[in-house]
Amino acid sequence: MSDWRDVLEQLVMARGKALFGYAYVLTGNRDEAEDLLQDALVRAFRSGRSAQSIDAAHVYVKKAIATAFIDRARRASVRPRLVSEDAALGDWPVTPDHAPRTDAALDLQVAVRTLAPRERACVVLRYMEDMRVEEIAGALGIAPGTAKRYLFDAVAQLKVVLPELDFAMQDAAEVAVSEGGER
Amino acid sequence: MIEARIAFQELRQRAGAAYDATELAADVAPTERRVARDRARQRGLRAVIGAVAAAGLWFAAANVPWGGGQAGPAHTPTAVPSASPSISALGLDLCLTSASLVVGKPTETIGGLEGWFNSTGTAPCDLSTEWDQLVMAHPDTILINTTDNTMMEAYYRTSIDALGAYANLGPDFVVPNPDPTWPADSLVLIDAKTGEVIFADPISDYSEDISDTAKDDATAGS
Repeated sequence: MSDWRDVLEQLVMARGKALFGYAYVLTGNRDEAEDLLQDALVRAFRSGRSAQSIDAAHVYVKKAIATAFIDRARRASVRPRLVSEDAALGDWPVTPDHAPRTDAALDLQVAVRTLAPRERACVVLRYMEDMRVEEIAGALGIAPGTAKRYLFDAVAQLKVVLPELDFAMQDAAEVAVSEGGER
Repeated sequence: MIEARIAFQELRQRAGAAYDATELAADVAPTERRVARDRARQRGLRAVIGAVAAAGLWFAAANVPWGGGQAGPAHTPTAVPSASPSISALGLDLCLTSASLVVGKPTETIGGLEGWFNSTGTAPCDLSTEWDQLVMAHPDTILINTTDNTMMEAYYRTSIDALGAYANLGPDFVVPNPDPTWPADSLVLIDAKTGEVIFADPISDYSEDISDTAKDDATAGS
């Protein structure tokens, strides 16, 4: 058995659940999450660079999941861009009861799905993977300033529908979310 | 207040619970086969690129004047170039090149379309996805509204020169030579270089329920 097959099998066995959960939160759909994870595994292992250890492969697959998710969303369909498309955040549906932690998670799942793909990827990497802005930018292949903007927009939108969630992080200074900030 | 990070962890835990029922958890072999197939295909592609590059070097060496303008002896390169040339070095990084927009005439509600033709990838083209193939095949495109044969938008990744006359159509954005085969009342995307129709969809397809979905569309755009 070749090395990459060993690493792939061990990765799927030991980290499959976590990677799948990550993909599931991004896609919001079990079948899409499995497809996404499989695509990401193929992307990661076909080059051979990531197949040297489980940890290296794990990092690479997480990055591949994010990029594959964005690419999929991008090519999924051609959509019209409205002449005027300012989002009315105040019109978003607000779920009335969020008290229990589980309910918060479920509400979060619904809310995350309303975000644009790049915003979704940024906020998931930030709050689920505890990545800093620079790491998010590296994972998505975008500039740190761009990642910061996506994160800012995403958190601002999530705060509208999930006011009971605290989005502050220890290093939150880099993602200072102020009301009425520029989009 | 609940920490967002805790809610995300809870969400992932719940999502991960569905993993055991997946095909991947049951059997990793199909994924292994896909990887093996892709690795074999990439080896083949690298071999072809290497052979083409080697042939190019051989041709150049055989035809470059040698000394006083005399053609030199045929030279067979002793070393084939790197077996894994950078894709971007070969000019195949259009996927990472953002498409520049030339604004044309919108309809009452539609300002343009969003799709692969004006999106930027997150990784270099690797030709294994439809998105990459489309971008490679059609880096410069023009979106035409056949209701009045005007240009709605144009997108270029190579150079604005690739758009030809479409780069500056004047204030009315009337296309110079509308193709009579273009379907009426449609948004038609053509290749700027070849004029090939890439897709054509009736405007009504985009206009239907547009007011109902406007909020989602606006927030889903990136």
